[in-house]
Amino acid sequence: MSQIVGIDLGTTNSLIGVMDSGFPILLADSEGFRLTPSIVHFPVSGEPLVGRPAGRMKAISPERTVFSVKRLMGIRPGETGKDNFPFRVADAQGKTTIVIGDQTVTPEEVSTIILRKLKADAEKSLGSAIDRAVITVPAYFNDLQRQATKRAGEAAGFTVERIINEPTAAALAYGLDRLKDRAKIAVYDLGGGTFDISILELNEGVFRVLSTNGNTRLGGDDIDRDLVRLLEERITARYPEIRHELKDPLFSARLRELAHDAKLRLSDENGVQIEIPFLSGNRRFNYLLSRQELDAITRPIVRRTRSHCLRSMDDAKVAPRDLDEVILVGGVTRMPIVRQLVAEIFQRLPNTSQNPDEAVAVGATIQAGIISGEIQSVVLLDVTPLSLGVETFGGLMNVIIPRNTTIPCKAGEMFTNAVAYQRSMRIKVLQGERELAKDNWELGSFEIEFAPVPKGVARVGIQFEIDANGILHVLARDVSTGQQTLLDLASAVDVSDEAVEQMIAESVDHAFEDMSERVWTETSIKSNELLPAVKSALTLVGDQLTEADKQEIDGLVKAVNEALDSKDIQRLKSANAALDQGTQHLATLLIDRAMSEAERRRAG
Amino acid sequence: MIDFFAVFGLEPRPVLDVGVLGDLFANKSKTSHPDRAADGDFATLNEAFNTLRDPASRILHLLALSGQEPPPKAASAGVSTWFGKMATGLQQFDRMFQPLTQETSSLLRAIKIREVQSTLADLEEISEGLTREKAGLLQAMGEIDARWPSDRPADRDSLAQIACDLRFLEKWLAQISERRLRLASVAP
Repeated sequence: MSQIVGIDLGTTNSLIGVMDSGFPILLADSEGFRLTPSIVHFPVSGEPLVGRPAGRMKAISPERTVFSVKRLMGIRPGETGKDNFPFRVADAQGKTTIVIGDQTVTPEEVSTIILRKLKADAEKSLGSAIDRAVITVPAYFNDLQRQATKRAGEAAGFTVERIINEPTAAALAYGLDRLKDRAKIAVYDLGGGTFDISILELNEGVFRVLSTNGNTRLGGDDIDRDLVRLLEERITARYPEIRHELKDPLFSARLRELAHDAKLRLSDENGVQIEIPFLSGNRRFNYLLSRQELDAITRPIVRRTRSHCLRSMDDAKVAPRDLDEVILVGGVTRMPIVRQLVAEIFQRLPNTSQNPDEAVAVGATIQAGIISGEIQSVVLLDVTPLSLGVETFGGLMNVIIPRNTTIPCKAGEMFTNAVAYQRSMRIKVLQGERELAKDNWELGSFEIEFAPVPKGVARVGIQFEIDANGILHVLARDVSTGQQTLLDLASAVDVSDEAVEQMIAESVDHAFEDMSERVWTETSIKSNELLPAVKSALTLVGDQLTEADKQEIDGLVKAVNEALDSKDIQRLKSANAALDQGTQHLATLLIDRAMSEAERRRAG
Repeated sequence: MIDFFAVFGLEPRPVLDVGVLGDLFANKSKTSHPDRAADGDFATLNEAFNTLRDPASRILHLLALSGQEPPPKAASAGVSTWFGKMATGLQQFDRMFQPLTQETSSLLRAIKIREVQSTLADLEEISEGLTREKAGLLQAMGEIDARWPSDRPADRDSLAQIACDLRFLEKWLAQISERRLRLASVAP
């Protein structure tokens, strides 16, 4: 049988590896690098460019150069969120697509093109054909995102032997030479586009995932985006007259590159000089970006990982002191501020022994070795990241397989007819942690057929199976014959274009109703909430403020009161905002006090 | 019906060492995981592990093995007294928490966080009570285990009641834990 390769299909970079006499090695691409940028450029005519050559086109032809496509995998229109790509993202028949000139491609197809390049380059360097692969995905990918990744691999000519979670793969890379150990570890994986946290137990070669959590749309790209915004503000502050030129796609692409490079360099340096010599005409822009400024941008983004970490520890029933190591993976974890925040969350210094860019690919290669039988002493037990359930009467979610269940697993559910002589029933399959069905991802639906009998007599057993890839299969079992049939899940995205248009039209109609009146009401409600809040905060922690601080707040309060009398919306809005801004310090003092009070209560 | 105790070569009884069970599970996975053996029945091993490591489902499985389907029980009088406190505590928290999630002003947020924190303090107190209650049930389980195998119908009835009570307590503890995490996700 042919070799199996391990592939890290990353948001920013992709890597491919293979087992070589018992050891995982990573292969260089045709440009000579192990990291192949996950970038595809579509020229006006001819074959797409992939990797480094495509990366060079990012600043020259931004609207034809697709990057970070992983953030769009298995994503439905309307879920794309705040991402602002220089290429056009649209939806066609309820599917997210990318429009390049008069051509459209899906995120899945772009991934296939990247995988094809990895395959071709690896075949060249190995001198033999390869057609089997293990491909990594973020642990928090849902069923739809996993299936899209698997299809992309198949379209590139691979038999996808396994879809493996990235933090789990990284744990394999860490643990391969510690097979005698018994330990509990956390893997903190913050990459270009996604965040995962997984907690594992290593037990003499068995890697058992206890829990996993994450956010598939949180990563280094968010830092780049906010850094670009900061630079844009600095430029307009100096040259307000060229504000409109900043929206030029070529310029945005250049700024994005500059921001990204500056971010990387600020992991080692304390300040980076950003220079744009020919900004517009003979205007030039020079700016010394400090690490403190980057930290201020990064902190709120990285803080969002905290609640995911707390959740995964809660699910695994471990406290920080129960963990033996916290392993860092993903390029963003090179940033000192990230290491510092991780140390705060887990109350220990993180382990930086793994190469943050390569550990996932090395782990995927190890998993390939496990499947091919080259590695005998290791077994990986992963979990399903999200609860699986069905919609019940009243629009609630009924959980059938809870999150963090070890996979592969199965669970049965009996369905009975709710009405006499009912012939069929449509069941919606959901994934997620919310109580209301509509707040979870709908994976699709299937139809159950009943015999025409009185209420409650017809019974059909449905078996839900999650395989080792974390992908769902639904089987119906005929109770009389015991025969099982695999059910097709009808896609949930078959919404007609007219229905979508209608929804948009309606929401716009409502938006303009009584606009000015409503805005005034909302703004004054806000003021009437703020004013007493300031007063009570001052009584609680006012003694910790300087006299000057107090006077400033008094002035801001007075301005809000005057604006309320003036009936001027704009004036009230800015007075509110100023008071908001001016009481930030007061808010911090209040929270500090609340925290120490809670601490005291806990201490008893 | 599959005897999940037998899957691990264990004697069927109410109490077992969950650490030992975890080691057995890891060890048996080496031969039955699909990566190791195409015909290994890993799903059953997995189900057995999940059933036995949780005291309530372990008891129910133990009772079902001896052919006696325990009648569905309501929570015992002692455990029922928590129901009202839980409902009030959760409602208070949720009512305070909802506006907090939409607040953009830092000062108003700080004030609302304080308010939510005080409702969480009530819940934490309940949580401590529930944990004590749970420890009592586990101790009672241990006492029955000490005279196992027991043919006394009273012991079997008590076990069924313990399983039912544990389910309620676990659910409530998880609900409180969920609130704790929700607050942690918005507080700095």
